[in-house]
Amino acid sequence: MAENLEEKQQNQNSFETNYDKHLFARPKENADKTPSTRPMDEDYNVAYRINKDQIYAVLELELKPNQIVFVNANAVTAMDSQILFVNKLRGGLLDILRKALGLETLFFNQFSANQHPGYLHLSPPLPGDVCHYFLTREKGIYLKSDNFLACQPTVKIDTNFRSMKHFYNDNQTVLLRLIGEGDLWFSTYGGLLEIPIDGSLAYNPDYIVAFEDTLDYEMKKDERLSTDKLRGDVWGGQGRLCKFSGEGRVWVQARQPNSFLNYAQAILLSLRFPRLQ
Amino acid sequence: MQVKLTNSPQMAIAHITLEPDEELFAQNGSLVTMTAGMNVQSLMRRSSEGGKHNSNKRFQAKTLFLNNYHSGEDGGEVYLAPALIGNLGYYQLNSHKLIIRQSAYLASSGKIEIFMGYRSPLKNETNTWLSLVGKGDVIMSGFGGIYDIKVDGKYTINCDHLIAFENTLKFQAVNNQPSWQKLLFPNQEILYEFRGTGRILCQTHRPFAFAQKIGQQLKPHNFRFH
Repeated sequence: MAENLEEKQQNQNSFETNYDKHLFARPKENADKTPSTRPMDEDYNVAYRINKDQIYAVLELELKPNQIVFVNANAVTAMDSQILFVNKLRGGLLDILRKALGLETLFFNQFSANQHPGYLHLSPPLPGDVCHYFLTREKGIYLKSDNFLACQPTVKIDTNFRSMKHFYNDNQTVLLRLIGEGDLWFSTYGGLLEIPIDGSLAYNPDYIVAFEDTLDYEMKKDERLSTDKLRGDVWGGQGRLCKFSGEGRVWVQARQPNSFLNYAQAILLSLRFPRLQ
Repeated sequence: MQVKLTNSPQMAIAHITLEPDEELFAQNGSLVTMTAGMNVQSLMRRSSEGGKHNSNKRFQAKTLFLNNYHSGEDGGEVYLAPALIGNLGYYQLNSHKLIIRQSAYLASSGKIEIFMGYRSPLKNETNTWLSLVGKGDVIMSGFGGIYDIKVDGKYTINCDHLIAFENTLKFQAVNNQPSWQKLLFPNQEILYEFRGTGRILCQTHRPFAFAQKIGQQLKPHNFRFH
């Protein structure tokens, strides 16, 4: 029994306690110019499978002992008895950042396996696809904060990136910049749209989930496309347009959650207070 | 103008390629991407009946906001998405009129004219109907799937499932209920009875019933005010 306890303590000591070191980074300090791809090392890689029935996709991770994964706290559906829930990452720098941004959705949980490999199931809150991306040191990725699902602890949030609040049309959602090296999983509402990137296309930023670091973007505001002054739509109506230049990849989703919110708010108000309308 | 419906049938998206100097009307706020040099204007259509200060809901003027995309010399591409989940329908308009629900309208080619004032024979109806006249393509969105019914003779349809129908059909509200039942259950379904020959387009689910199901669970103390 005593040996078992010692082993457990050793296991728990192997989890690192200084979480801020994982979550935030400065890209100039760890600029390492060796090209990197996803390694074939089986101890390092997290085995994953995306179970897909038409558009309703679910992510399944297979964790080995001492393998750590950061997971969006709202996304966990089921887990093995072998999976260890280590702790909630609250307090410290993360909490200050969250309060400054006015976010409530950016909670990370840390999961690991006990002594044998176990399974962890994750599902996004809105129906849609799940995408996998491997981050390398040369390329970072910009990601919408609502669509984050899971990542390895070597993936970090860049704090030098300032213009996170001004990308989307509403005040709630935020664009994050992720750098480092490791696996990243994110979800798209309504499935993935495959639109080729030309210099001539202008995108509505509410439909953009993620795009690579190598692309340059340029925002424009077109008053004729806005809906907040015309129709009284509260969510996502400022008529911003985004134009990309350079080489890279963009992930576009097929629906935006803002239009569903607009629809629901108009109807629910009239249900609750029928005389207002 | 060429129309491709991708990602169907679950979450359909309309991919429209415009020829040089062509116009497209679309509902406001439905844009995903477009070519950057396109000329965009926003328009408003207003029903002729009713005044601004009239408090009765039935007589209030109803408005529709449209975006007008005008392609330049090289042509252009537009991707459009509806607000809710579901499939898209494609209809080619010829000589006759098409009458369509306002929330189901997504886009139409520039040669089609859009009028607001279609009067339904029902007194208490709150839906607004648009009438489309001309030659060209019409794209409509449904909550869930879309299916069509070819009518020859009589047909009875629930009002909430109806998206669009051709003007060669005439319709009437079914009045089977006795008056004391209406007093007890005021929010009953409205049924339409169609006569004639033509096509009817229907959606598989009702958006209002979906909202009602959510609204029953809501309580004021569950709301968080920040």
